[in-house]
Amino acid sequence: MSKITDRPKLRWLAPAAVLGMIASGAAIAQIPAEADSGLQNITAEQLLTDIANAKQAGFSGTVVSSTDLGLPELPSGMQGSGSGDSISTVLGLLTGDHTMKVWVAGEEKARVALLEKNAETDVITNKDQTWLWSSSKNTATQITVTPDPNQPDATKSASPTPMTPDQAAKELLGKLGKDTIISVSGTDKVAGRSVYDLSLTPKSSESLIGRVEMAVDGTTKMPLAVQVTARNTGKIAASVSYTSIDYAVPADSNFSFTPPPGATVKKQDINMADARAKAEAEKSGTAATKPAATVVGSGWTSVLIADQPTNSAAPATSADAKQGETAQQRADAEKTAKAFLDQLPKVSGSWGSGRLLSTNLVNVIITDDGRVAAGAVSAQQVEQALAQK
Amino acid sequence: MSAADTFQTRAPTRRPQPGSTLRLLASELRLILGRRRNQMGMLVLAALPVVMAIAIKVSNSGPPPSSQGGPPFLSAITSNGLLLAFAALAVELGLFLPLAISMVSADAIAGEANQGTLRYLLTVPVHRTRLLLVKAASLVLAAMVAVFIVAFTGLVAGVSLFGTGPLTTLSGTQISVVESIWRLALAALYVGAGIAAVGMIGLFISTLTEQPLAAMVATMIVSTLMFILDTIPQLDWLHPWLLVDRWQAFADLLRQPIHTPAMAVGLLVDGAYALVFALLAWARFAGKDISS
Repeated sequence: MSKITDRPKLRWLAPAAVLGMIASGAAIAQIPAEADSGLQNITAEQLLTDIANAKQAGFSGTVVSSTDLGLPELPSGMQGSGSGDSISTVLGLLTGDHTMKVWVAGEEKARVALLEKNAETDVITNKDQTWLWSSSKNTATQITVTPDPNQPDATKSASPTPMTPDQAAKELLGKLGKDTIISVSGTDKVAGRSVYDLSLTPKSSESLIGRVEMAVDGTTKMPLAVQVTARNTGKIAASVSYTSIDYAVPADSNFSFTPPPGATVKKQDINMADARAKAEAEKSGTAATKPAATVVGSGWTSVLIADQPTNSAAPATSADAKQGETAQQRADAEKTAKAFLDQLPKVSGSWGSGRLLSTNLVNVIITDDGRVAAGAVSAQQVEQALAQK
Repeated sequence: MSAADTFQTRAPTRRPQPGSTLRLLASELRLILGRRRNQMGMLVLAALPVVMAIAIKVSNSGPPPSSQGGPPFLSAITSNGLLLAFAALAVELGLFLPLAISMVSADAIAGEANQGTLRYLLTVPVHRTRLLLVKAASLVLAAMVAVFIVAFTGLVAGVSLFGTGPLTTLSGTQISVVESIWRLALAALYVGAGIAAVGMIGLFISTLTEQPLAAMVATMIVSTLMFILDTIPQLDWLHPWLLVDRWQAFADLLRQPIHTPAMAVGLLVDGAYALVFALLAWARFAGKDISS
């Protein structure tokens, strides 16, 4: 006491000390803890098998995804018109940071909530019923999927939301082959769990993907984070990661959804058997019809070439929407799409001409005759693939 | 030897009577709530939700198709008046609430000094630190009063003009009216914590000057500057450190289940600002010369 009253200047030490404590505390919180993970060494093969075999009865968590593809700035008109059209929604998901909450119970119940500013988009699946809820549009869409008896797995790929880390990891693992160096590069902490770092490096130096790193929970073997590093920048171009995870099975109340009063309710039936029959009929019907998509090359350097979805196919999927509105929206969407395409650089070659969308991870060429070619390779190689076809 | 030191050596050292601090706080609050300009300020805070409600009711030809750019939840207010209280909080957060607390906090020390009453206040047998604590506590309570005035008038105006019922959350599920009012109270407390932190900045600035107007303007500049910096995307590394960055996160209370992480960090930031600026105010005030 006496020291402080004798030398008033000493009092300023108190706020300075607290400020220092807060700053260092915040800084320490951001550095990953170097604590011993307590995990035993494991081979890459063993880890891959464990991942494939891992099965959770249920879990819930928060997922943060961030993407830095080095995309060109969006035209101002597209950012402003916002939530309306699907193109800007998709582009919005491709850029920036997003937070999702995930609940999963068993194989039949799942809910994914995309948290937006003052809004939320939810996909709730409970057995054979799926609801798509958009709070900004105040619309609930009931999607009923009738599974194709011949293809029981077809329903699983119908999810319209961004992938969770475990889905993303499993899909990646399915594509692995002789062209990848797989190693367990160490242990780490993700979402408070001790994890193995699984590193996947393409052998080919032609791929734009420099490295894919996956964090796998040491106990449950569930992938908790996926990071993709771009080869040319050496920086992380895309990452999906749980920031918190709870392996308790979530309560059933999380998976029940009743459209709130006042909301627009739409219905959408997807009959997998019908869809397949239709696709097969189209394929065999006219000999001149090109197959929907082809892959040129293999592994990390493969290029996917597909026909651009024609506009006549669009209304069939949204049968219940008002006709006038749909036409207007479609016209607007086409306009914004064209405005966006016109900003992209022109490319041309023996294959024709088109526009190039170049990012740190993928190059996409949209040709003037309505084809789309995409690959994690240089633009020249995408062009070569187009020429080969 | 400064005047402050002379004063402190003369100050009585006996323990204060129990309850004396509370009496001092009560008298301070009476003073704040009794000032005519503060009453006018409260009236303005209360008027805005009413004006919003009437404007939405009159232009009921249809809410804007999307709430982009406008206040949040605007499109849903017509279906449930409860949301007007949340929208009113979001709107007043930007200017009116920081302005109100700037005004009150400027009076705390600078106002007393300017009126010449600080001298007399210090002759009360109360230690300066204790006096500052009372001032700080009264500012926190004033912030809460201001925020709850907004929430309450928003609730009354919204419910009386648009009716109410179970509230549709952002997640598409419904919660009961009681549950929604409970969440509104939590939202008000969360917003109040941020406003109280601005009050602590104001308290520190108030100890620097004897001109309450200067203190008020300076506090307002600090809070507005943080709002501006928060909208500049090139400064996104700075955003998490700004007091105002997570103020709008109370919208997470309208999710089912409530999403807490953003608000938890928001409260930590509020608390850190409040603590540092309250200590700065203490360091300045305890050794300040009181000349008027």
